[in-house]
Amino acid sequence: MKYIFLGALLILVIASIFTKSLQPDAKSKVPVLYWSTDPNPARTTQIEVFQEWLKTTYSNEVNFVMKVDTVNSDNSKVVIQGVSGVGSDIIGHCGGPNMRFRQAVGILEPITQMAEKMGFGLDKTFKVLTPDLSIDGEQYAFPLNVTAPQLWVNVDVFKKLGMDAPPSRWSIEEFEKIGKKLVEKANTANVTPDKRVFLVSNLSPSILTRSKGVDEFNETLTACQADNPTYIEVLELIYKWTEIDRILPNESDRQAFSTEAGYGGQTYQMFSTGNYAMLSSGRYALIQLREFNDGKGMNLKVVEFPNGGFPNTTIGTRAAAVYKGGKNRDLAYYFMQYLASPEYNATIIADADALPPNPEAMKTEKFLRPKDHPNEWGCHEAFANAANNIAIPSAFSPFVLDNTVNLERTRAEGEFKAKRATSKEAAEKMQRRINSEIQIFLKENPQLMPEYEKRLEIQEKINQYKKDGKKIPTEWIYNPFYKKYYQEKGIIE
Amino acid sequence: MNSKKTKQLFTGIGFISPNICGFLVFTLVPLVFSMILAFTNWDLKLHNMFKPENTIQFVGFANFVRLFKDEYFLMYFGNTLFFMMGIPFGIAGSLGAAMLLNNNFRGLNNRVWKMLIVSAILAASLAVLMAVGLKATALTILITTVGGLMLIGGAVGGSTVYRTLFFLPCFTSGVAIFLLWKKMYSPVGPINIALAEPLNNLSKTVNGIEPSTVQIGFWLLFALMLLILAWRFKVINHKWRDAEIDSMSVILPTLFTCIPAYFFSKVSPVESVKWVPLTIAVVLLIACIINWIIKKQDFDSTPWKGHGGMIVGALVFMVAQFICIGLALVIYNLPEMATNGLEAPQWLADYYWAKPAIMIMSLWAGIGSNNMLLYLAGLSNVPPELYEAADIDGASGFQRFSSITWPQLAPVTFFIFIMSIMGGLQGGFATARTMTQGGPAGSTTTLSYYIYTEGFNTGRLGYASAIGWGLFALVFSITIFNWKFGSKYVND
Repeated sequence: MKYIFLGALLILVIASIFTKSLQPDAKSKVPVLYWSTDPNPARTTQIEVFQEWLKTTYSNEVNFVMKVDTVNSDNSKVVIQGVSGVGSDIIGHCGGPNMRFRQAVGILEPITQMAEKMGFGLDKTFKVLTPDLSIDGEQYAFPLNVTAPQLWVNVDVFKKLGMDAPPSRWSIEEFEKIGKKLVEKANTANVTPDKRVFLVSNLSPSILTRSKGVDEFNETLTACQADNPTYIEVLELIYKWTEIDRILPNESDRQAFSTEAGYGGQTYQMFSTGNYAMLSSGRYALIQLREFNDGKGMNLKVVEFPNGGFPNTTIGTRAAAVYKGGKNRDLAYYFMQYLASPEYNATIIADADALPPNPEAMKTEKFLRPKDHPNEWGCHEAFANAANNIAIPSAFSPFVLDNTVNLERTRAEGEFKAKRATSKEAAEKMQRRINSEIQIFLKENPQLMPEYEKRLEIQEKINQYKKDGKKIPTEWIYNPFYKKYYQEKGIIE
Repeated sequence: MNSKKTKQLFTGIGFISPNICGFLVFTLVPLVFSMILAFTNWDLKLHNMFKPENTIQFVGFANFVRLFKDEYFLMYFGNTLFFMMGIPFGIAGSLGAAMLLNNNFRGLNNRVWKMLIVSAILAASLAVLMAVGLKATALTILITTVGGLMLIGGAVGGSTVYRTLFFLPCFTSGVAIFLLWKKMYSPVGPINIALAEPLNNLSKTVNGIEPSTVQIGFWLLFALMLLILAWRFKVINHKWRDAEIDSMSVILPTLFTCIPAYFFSKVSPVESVKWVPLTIAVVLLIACIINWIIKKQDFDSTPWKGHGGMIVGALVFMVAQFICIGLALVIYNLPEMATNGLEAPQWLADYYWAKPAIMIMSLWAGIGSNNMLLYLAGLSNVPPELYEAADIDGASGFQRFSSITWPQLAPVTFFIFIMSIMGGLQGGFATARTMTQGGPAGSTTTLSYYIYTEGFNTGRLGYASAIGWGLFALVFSITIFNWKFGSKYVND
């Protein structure tokens, strides 16, 4: 028995050594760096172009291999691997909330100096993305791509029903009217759940609330103010559209569409089959949409989200950051430099992986009117216009982590949808929970207290100025939404 | 110690060392570490290798104090307890399966004929289902084919085939099972397809009858619930008088018996009768107490005698009363629900259906689990002469079960019950993660999933550990309670 035991042990040791020898780092003569990111098919091309770019730009001076790691991009994996010292060299993250959480954990390398030196500073991308890429003036990331979501329209669905596609800019009332008409025409009384047609895949309560002039955080980002009539009204409206008018699908409807194949999951498939007449997404939807209809693409149009008087959308970025514990940080900067290069921007334009990091690249003919995709002409311009004119970044309070805010928002909205709470109770709970999280965060980070108190004083002054109808000094406003909204309404100096 | 013994000792240690190392590294050390963590403010955002300037501080019981104030902890604890209500059904299912599988099906003996009769009933049931609307879909063909194959397999291969089939869910990967059931629960999945036409016909029937006629069902179930309540008190009273139970053993089971009556007062759709069950319960309780004070027990009883059995009985009766209430409410509201046609549930997308949906899946997986194997082993240890004696005395099948099988299996049941309670309190993570993400509105979030979200969404590992140890305290208390009273039940 003991010889069997020892034999098994020996086999396991040999197998382990053999497995280790198969790892890319063990086989390669040059350093191998890893980039943890989403399983986007465009990553393969981006890596290939990077290796070419590295060879062309630095000939043989700098030589290393970059590998994509799509199985470790989940937030908890990134954080746990990061604090354990075994994170990926390049950490990809989706939007400001992820970046802020990872920065708070301390696994992101500050890159301001290197960015300046190597040319991938904040001046090389959209100015509005500053809160998504930097904290307190220190840069931590650079965009892989930029997203200002809009509504994609499957024009054929409207045509088939004898309706015109929606206008580029439309009000909430028009949205409801068109939506009701469409679902009435498209769905018979006995339609089965998997055949039902909806106007749009989903809508963001935050964008609708902002379109009515209110954000969930106050001007100084010191408190959540979800418990206000506008947010409550929007919650009610979305519920009505989902459960009564059936313009939007509910969770059960989504589950009825059993397909989940392809990049982006079921939503794109449902859009292509016409179950969703419109799709709420960024330009990156084209990665999948170009595959449909035997590769010929679809008859498409892009319109804004419905608005209650103030057209807007969010703007965010899938960005890359350098892992603080990485052994090859000096090499990782070359990859960051590549992200600001014309070659990389051209790749993003060609494979339609959202908007390129550099806004200048959106002015090119290749971006606006791609030769191989005439059906998309006009769509790219709509995204560029949205990013340049109506996009406002999310409001990140420095006194609470955004993933905590998201969690509380999801819980509160979920309770309302399940009719476990009224819209008023849900909004009140969300506000109470987030504000109590702010107090916990301040207790954990006492160094933030002076700044918090300073802003509280400013907030009081703002409230007084608003009451008195006086113009508010611009520097008092920290919330990017109010900065833009007040500017357009002429409320700030 | 001579050299041979030393060699043997080292060989032995060598054999068990991988296991010991694994236990130390992956169980004992993390266990101790998490206990220490629960008393600290360790937060991943503040304390990690990149922030050496921050030190972890002991915060005493602060995390535990916060735990008791945490509204989500209580909510998710409630969810966990709700899921555990399925445990008795799972145990009963395992026992039933084990008793069936304890028979030999090989060859054309009497049992096989019985099986063929059962299969004929199955075929007839399918015919009825088809008549009420279940079309000859692939599902019907699938059920019939699988059923037929199982019967043929059983006749040829004996009970081994059935044992393997029943045990299948236990060695199938959990994630695969969850994904399969997710598809089954889809609004266009096989369950809802099968339910659609029967529900359609039912709604037509209900719409054709006066609502008051349909609601007779509510009153019948209401009466049944009262009967169960009264009968339970009668049983308690008799057992006390016959000294089968001690006075102390009456308190908790009596309280359990009254819980459904209190629940009914909260949910009754008919205002005039909402307090009736509770009033009857209180009157019966007072009558019993007066009876116990005035009269004496016929024999002497030992302290806490019969307590375990009483608790098990009370739980069974409590569940029976809850079933009556649930069905009564459904029937009462049926005419209104049927007005626009009855629709199949939204299962995982509906706050109220998500929990039962997961419980049904767990029941399916639980029947053919290790519990069934334990019962099979337990059944093989029951002395056959007991059954022979019972046969000579002319005992019926039920008497054989209640007087021989059930008491003989009491130690196994007790073990299964304890393990199921422990598993139930710690369970629900994989299901929530794979099927529902804890939703809708947190309805399927259990304590174990909450520990994960707290630990990795907010990074508060100290607090997450405190929740973990809070959970341990609950498991430990319930296990102690089980040992204290359950072992008496086994010995009784």
